[in-house]
Amino acid sequence: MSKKFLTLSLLSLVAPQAGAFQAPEKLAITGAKVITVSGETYEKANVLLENGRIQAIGKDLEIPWDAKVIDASGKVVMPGLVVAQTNEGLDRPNENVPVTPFLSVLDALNPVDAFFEDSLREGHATILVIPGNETVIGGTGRVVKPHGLTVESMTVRVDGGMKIAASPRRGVSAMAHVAELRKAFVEFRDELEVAAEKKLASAKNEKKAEAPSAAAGKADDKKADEKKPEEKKGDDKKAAEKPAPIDPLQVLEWRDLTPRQRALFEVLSGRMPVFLWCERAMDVAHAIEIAKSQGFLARTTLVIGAECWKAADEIKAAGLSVILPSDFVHREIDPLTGKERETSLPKVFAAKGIPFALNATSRGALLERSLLLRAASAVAAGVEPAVALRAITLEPARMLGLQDSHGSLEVGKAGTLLVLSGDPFRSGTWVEEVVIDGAHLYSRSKDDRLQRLTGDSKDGGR
Amino acid sequence: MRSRLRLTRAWIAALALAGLAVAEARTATTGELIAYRAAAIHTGGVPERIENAYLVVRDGKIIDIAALAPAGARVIDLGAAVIVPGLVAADSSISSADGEMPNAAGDLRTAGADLRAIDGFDFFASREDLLAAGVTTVYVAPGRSRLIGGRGAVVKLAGASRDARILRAESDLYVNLSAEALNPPGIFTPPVPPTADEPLLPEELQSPRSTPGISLALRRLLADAQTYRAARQKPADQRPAYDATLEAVLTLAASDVRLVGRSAAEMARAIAVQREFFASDSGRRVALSGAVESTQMLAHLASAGLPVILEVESHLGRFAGDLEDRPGELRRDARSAARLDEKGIRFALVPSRETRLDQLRQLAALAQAGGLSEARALQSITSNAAHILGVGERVGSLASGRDADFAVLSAAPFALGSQVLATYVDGERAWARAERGPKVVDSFVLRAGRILDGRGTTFVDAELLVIDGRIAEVGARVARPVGCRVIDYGPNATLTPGFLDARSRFGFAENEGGSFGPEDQVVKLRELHPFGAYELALSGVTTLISSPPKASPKGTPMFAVKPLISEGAQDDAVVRELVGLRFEVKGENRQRALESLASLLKRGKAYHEAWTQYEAAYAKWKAESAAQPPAPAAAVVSPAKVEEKKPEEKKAEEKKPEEKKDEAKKEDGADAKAKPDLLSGTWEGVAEKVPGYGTVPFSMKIEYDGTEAHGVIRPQVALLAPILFEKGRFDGKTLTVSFQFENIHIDLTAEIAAEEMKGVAKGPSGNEALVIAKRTERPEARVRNVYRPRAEVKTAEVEEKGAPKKPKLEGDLECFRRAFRGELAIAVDADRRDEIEAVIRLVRGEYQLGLVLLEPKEYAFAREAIDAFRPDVLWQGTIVKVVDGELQVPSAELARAGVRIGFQSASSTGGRTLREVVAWAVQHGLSPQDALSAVTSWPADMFHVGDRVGSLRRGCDADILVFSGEPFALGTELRTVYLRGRQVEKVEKRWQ
Repeated sequence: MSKKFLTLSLLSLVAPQAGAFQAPEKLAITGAKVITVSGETYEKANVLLENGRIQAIGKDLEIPWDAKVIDASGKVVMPGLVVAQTNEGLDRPNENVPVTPFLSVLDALNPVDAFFEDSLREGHATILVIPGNETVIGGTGRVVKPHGLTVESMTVRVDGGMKIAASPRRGVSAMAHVAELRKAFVEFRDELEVAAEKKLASAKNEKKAEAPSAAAGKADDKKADEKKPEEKKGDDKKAAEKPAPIDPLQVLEWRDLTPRQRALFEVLSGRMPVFLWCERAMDVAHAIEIAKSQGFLARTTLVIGAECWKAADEIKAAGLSVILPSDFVHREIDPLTGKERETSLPKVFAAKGIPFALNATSRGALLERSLLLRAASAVAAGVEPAVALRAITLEPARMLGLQDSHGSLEVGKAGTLLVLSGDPFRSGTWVEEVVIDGAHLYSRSKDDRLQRLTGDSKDGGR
Repeated sequence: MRSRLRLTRAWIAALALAGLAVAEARTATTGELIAYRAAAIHTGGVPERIENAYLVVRDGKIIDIAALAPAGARVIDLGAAVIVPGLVAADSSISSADGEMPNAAGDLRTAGADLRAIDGFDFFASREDLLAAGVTTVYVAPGRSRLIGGRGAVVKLAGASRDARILRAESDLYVNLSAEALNPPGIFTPPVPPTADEPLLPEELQSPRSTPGISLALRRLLADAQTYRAARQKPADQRPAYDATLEAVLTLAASDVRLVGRSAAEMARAIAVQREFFASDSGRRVALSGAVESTQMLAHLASAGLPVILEVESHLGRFAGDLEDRPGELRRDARSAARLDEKGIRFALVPSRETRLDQLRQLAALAQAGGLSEARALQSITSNAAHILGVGERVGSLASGRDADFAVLSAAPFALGSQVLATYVDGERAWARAERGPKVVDSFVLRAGRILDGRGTTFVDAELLVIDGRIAEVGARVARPVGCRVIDYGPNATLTPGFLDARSRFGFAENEGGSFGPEDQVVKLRELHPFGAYELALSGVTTLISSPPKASPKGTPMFAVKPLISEGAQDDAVVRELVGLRFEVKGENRQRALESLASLLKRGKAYHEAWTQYEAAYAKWKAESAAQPPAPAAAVVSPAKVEEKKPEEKKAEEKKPEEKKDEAKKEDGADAKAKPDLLSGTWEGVAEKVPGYGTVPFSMKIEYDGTEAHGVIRPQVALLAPILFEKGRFDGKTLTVSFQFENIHIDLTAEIAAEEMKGVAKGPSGNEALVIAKRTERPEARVRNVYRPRAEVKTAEVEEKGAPKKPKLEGDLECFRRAFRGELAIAVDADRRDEIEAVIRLVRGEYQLGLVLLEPKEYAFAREAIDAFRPDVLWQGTIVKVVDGELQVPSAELARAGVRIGFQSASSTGGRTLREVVAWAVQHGLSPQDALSAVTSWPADMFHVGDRVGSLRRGCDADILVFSGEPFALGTELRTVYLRGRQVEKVEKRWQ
């Protein structure tokens, strides 16, 4: 290996990230077809970004003299793609102890993992990195952008969500797994009750002027807006079962909890999104039961395996959205005829009107690595192009609670967008440029590694 | 009347079975009243059985069981089928808990009391195997490896939704007192992270670890639970942490319980445990499960008053292992169930752990061998099982208000060969054999009081099995292949083979035939579906020996054909081509005709011998030249030649020297021509392991003209051009062809058999691709009324160097080779005594050929010759006559003398009256038995088609006549005719 090659490959590692810290205040993308996803699609329009946010979108925008300009004539601009959940970029997906809600990917995320570089290249601009599925309660994830040298600089949102598995992990029966999951919550609630009781008792003993009900009232005020009525009902029911009707979720505050209790407390309070893993259709009923009984159904998204299309009606009835597996075709052998039956999940969920996000994985086959290709495959399987587009942008953004800032091109939203060489569903379309929060982070013309692969490199592809 | 009723019922049953799916194409709509009519409804309760009743269903519930269908109900007639309640399995291991592994199940204690079997049950898994066995409800057991395994569940195997399928989400607590729950797996709970305060500890052992430990463990568990409950009332700082197991144990107080004990000792322990811990006074259900050795414990069990879930082992289709090598083997007693019943103990039958759950119905049948009544046996897998599970008000019996869960059986539930036809859950069909059953052979069984096989054997109260249009078995009790229909014609009915009209001109015009010669190998039927065929078939004539009416001096060909009653089975219409040659030796030209016949036979014999010698010589030469390496100059043998030679060579070797007679012609390619073309048409398939392409699907169009095949191969892969090929060789079995594929020479060698092609394509570098294809399109059916001049066929032959010289091929003598091989009859029309005698002496005496005399009017004067040479005789007009004041019944007279006789109509469709003609002879003294032979096996044998038609023997065509009584009695009705296994429909039906 020549010295030159070594230098280049080292450079290529660093090169796309070099400009990160100096996002220009103003950036204009001009002359492109702009697919906003949420609204109309503009032909030959300009997008103006200022301070990392979208300032304006329109046909005859005046480009400020001090804006950096990306000429995207004949190209297509669309929102940065959103990966609804992945366990890549971690040193390993799961702890081997099943109930670990207190763990966070913060401690396992590796910013220089090649996964992030690949993600940037594919236009995956917003990613929820969350523990894997081999768990009962796996820990919290984090929404990141695929750029930055520290987890903090990558972070888009800290409390990305809690991973909970309704499907048994390897070597455990479904029966034992579900019992364990149920027990984990009941035990945790019991723990909270003890803590709440202790808190109330000590408050009484000290005979402070501040009555416990005031504290409870305060907490209540804070939560009233966030909470949906049915959750409250669930909580009340739970509380009603106990002789002393203390609702620890209202009594306890952040500071009363041990660090180990906090994440799960956020889940029960309905503030933390939950990503519930269901591998098989039979697990869906358990997932819904747990989410309902523990009051986090409204914040729940199902991460499903291919067989779960069979439980689509139950998913629909529960009002849940789903994240499809990267290989979204379910195959099974008819026991009688021996023939293989194939079912394309996006088609099923689109037909039922269940919101879904497509997912990609860098560990899968080529077609499974890119969200754009996944969406194209979904379109090929018969899904409306508009639905497929939402399934890689706005839908996953909504699942991550980022619908107000990500997933579509609207004035005021984050300046996270892609410039494509052509129609998003056409084969041969490349991600040309990636802009995240107004920073131009990736340019295919400067992607040395890709050029080596495709043989476009100036040094002859060595 | 009675048998007529049976007949109708049988047919409705047959239709119901075949068309169950069709009849009920639409599913029930809300509020719709549906009445299922069955021959019997077994309720599983009281009354046990109602005959000819309607099961009335609405919205998934049973409304009524009634003798009449309610007004406005949609009636689904199940014919002879029987309805039973959906079977209830009171124990099963179909939850995923079976995959439970030690150590991995988390915090499972001695009691996994918080485990729920329902959590491990996959509602989306296919349960077709069980539904196909009529099982609709099962108890799902939790894990079995711990003292308290958890809570079982009772679920349905089909239904609209998960909720609709759950009968009891948490039913009884599974308390396992048997040996399998001793030494439960230990528990390993590593802390995260391990610290000095929370160190990593070895796995925690679980109890009970010995038999006496069971009661101890239970006692401790219950005591712990009480202590825990008290402690949980304390203030927060003193309260113990939540314990899911003990919480679950606390619910034991009022819970249903299942105590598992198999051996007598375990059962005794179970009863003791029940008395100490689970008194049933609180209204809870306690059942004893296992109870394998219950016969040793009857009194004890009776006094305990517990219902029993009795494990039964079956070895249906499965050998037992070496039982004597397993000292712990429990004593199973076939009488257990009957004994429990005698003692008044309620019980359910369940399969043992080693027995398949889909044999539930058969298990109950086995229990009957121990003396259990049929009704109780059925209850033990339906209503009693449901009551023990606490779901008796929903399922397990058929009564107003219950769920419409039922199975439709082809016969009484425990009758031999009774099969599940369909299974319904909540009024919806969950499984039907017609739709989802495995593919089975097309078969049916006919039952009748008498079966006459046409060869002199009479079976009384017998059955006949037809598979794929052929007779598979005849006997007192025949096989019942899965899915077969049984049609009972009643005790008076008689089955006989279809009749033969031994000479007919069926299919030929009135004056046709003068120009016909024996070289016309192909049947020249004027129409393939001639007028009158249907009436002929309906009259019982299922085979005709047909020939053109005008005689030819060279011999008029006779063909064995069937009256075709449907298009599309044209190959079936011909039983065998050329089964006889007909001559006329009568009238003014009798002398010339006789001389001509004599000379033909002489030439024919010489020709036959010449060929026999040649074939022997050729075979010898072939063997010798095969021993040497083939000379490069050896000419290519045309495939047509190879084809015709091979069978001949064999035959030549078999022949005896004394059979050497003259012959002059060759029967060959024309025969091959007449055979269906195995190669031409469109083939579709795949080539596997094609280098650089992998599996390549292709279609291949082949045209084969008898010598060479050419065509085109179209790979179904983008960018691959069609491949043309020619000069393919085919020898009836193997196709050899070469072509260029991407400029590479490929040799394809493929075996053709049964419309399938299997072979190997070889490239120059030794790469091989596997080729498999199926013929999807045949060449258009060959028009049969086309003459095929002999000369055309011989063109392609190439002489082999050094081979013995072939005799000259003579078309008009070719058939005599078959005559001398004994494959073809010589039929002669002779009237006068001198004619008859001359013909007999010539054909039988001089040449020992098979001779059939056609209506020899002066037979009586030629009796000497007839008795000496025993020709076969066909009768037409001379049935009964009075000569010189003497009653003559020629057929009866000759039959008595041991001559094979037959009857001929000599008309196109005159055979329709065959039965009446013969009945007249029978009225005048022809033995009915001989009469039957004379219209079945005798003419079939005369014309060498006895292996296909003329008798009810295994392998023969299923041409069957169903008579209401004695076939030739005048008052007997011919009820039904089967032609090639298909019923010939009555006129009324045909025009409907």
